[in-house]
Amino acid sequence: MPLQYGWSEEQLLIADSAGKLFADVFSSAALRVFMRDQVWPEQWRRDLGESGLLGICAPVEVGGAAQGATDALAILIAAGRRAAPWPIAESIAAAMVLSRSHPHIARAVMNAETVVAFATQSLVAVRQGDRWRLSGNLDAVPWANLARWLLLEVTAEGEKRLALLDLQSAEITCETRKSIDPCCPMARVILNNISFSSTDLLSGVERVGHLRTLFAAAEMLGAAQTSLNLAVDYMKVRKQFGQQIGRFQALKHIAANDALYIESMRLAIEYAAWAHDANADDAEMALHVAKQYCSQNARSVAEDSIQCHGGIGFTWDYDLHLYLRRILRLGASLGTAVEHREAIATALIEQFSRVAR
Amino acid sequence: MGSNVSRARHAQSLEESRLDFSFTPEQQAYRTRLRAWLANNLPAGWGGDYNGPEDAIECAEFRKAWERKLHAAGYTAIHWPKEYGGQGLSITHTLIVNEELGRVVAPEPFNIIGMETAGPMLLAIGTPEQKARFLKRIASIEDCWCQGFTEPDAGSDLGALTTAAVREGDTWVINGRKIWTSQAHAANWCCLLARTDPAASTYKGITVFAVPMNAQGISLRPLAQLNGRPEFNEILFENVRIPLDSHIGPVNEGWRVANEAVAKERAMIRLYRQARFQNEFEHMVRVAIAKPQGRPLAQDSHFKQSIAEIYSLLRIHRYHNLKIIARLEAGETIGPEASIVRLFWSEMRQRIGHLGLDVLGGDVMLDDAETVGATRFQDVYLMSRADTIFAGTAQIQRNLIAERVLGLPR
Repeated sequence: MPLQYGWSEEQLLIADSAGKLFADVFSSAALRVFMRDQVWPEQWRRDLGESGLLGICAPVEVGGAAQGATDALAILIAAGRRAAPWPIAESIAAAMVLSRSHPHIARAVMNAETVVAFATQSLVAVRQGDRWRLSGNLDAVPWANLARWLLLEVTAEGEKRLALLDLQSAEITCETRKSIDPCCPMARVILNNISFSSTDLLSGVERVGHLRTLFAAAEMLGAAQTSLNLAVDYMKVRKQFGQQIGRFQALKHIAANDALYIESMRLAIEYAAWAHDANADDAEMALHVAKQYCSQNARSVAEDSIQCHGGIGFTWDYDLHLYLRRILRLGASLGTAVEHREAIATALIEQFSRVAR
Repeated sequence: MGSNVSRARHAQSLEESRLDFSFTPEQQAYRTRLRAWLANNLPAGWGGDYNGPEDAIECAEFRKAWERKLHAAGYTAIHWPKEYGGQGLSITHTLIVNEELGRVVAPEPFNIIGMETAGPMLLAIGTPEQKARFLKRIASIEDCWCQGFTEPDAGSDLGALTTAAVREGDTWVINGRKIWTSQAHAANWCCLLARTDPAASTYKGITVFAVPMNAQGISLRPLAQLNGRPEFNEILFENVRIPLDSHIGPVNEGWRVANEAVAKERAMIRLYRQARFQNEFEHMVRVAIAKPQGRPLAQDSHFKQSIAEIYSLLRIHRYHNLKIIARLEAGETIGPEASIVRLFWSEMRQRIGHLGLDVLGGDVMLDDAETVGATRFQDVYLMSRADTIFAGTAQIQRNLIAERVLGLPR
């Protein structure tokens, strides 16, 4: 196909409705209430469920839109723009991966009636007849104390699989931990010899991991975009030395760097999403490139934005730190920048050693 | 900047708009043919440590000869109309040719100003006579152009230029001095910016002229670049007389009109560099892996992190290029966001330069063919210092981005 840089009517519609919905339900005031109470209002469930956004990647059989990663990007960017206190990425991924084996849960996730948390660590599952057993501590699981289900990467007889666990089981304990991201509660999940059936052991680890990594990058882009927008708006109105501070080149140049990072992050993510959907040869490398670039530079944008604001940017009551914190959490999830760079370097060195030999 | 509004505009400009970074089978076949042609036609000895003749004039002739060979094979002025000596192909084909030339580090084109500045300007706003007279000769490298913009007191502040063109009877009389003029020593035309209205301030009252370099009153002084090569020049204009119809575009409006005319080309400028930079980077990584003495760099975690970062930047540079080409193909114009790409690659190149120094290690003390970088790494590093200066410094680009992309006050 020829080179194209554009969006279909449908994609634009999705971007628009996600942007409007999240701006509405995840208003600054709503975020503050959530940060205090750590509970989800019923209204959020209704609005998110009715929007259909969480089923963007789920197959048609469960009522999803069966779209690719490229189509989902706008939703994740919009979520990042409001530091969404709902597991948007996790819900989209879970609705997709559970659709065949657990269609009722997939539907409930899409309708925002239930929530699936994803563990960040992996454990070894031990077979016991036609059931499996698991024990261990999962130190930091986002959303676990609000979620009903847990998807956990396990090694089962040498194969990487996903295990679906019911967080209400007696063999599971959740201990709340203080999260760096106050719009995303965090818990330690302790599995005490929990048993589960083979039907709860799913394939698709790689695909889900790939998508979630891409989604994390997109959410960081959204958070960075809001940070830069706030800084640019502020620099147009804040006056010092008798003029708008946005006239000072020292600040202009910081903002220009951030515009460059934002545009470059966007392209890195869009290319990686396209490569994923098109099954391109460089899909894996493009994902490492996107995640490492976004983890590093989204953080820079958020930090620069605080700097451009001066004192007000360093307050708890101003929202900037919520975006920085969202970026810190996502930057450390699904492979840190250092880890993704290590993967890139290893692939490059392998490639060029082969050429040399 | 990818807002919903601009996305909506993208959407309207295409029937079934979407994101697609791939090429058509026809374009892929074109790339394959070109790749095969290059394998058989690069200059003898090319591809190793040979970079062409040392002498500036000989080197210019060497590069022109290469470009003429490209022209004969149909690989210059790719997207120009056939009637003006072009190939009548798409902008995507131009990208493909640039990528393939860069991939094998083919000799740098000499007629860059002709191809990327004067030609596009003439195509957009030249008179029919000017088009007929100049374009075919640019495409075939019979004419090579240089660019007389910068002056000793008008660098970043180009609007302060004082070189004057005064109307006298049926001629323009030009007096002034231009500096840092690349290629002037082997060019036969100059694309000159001169003030035609001394009363007007800054960019008003400036006109673009086509000036033959053999006109009486032009003298040239070669200037050695920081890397030692005398590849740029100072041009002195002393009562140089050129015909009245030598201006390109309207008198006194030249700067604005010319700028608009070349907006498209500015975004595409030196597309070949991405693939060239990739080649420089890969060369450095290969040497680092094979380097026999000392602790192997390939096992050093700082080195690994560094190559991964630069590799990522190279990939993202390519994505930027693909987006620009796709937007141009869809009939869009590229605005001030072109400064983002320019800033992006110029600073990336400097990181490649630093990587070269890291790989050279102790060999940084030397600049000869016996070093592991075989003078190439030294040259990449030294030349990279110009990347954030020429055609608008990194600081000017940042001002443009802040004011015209983000809308911060001037």
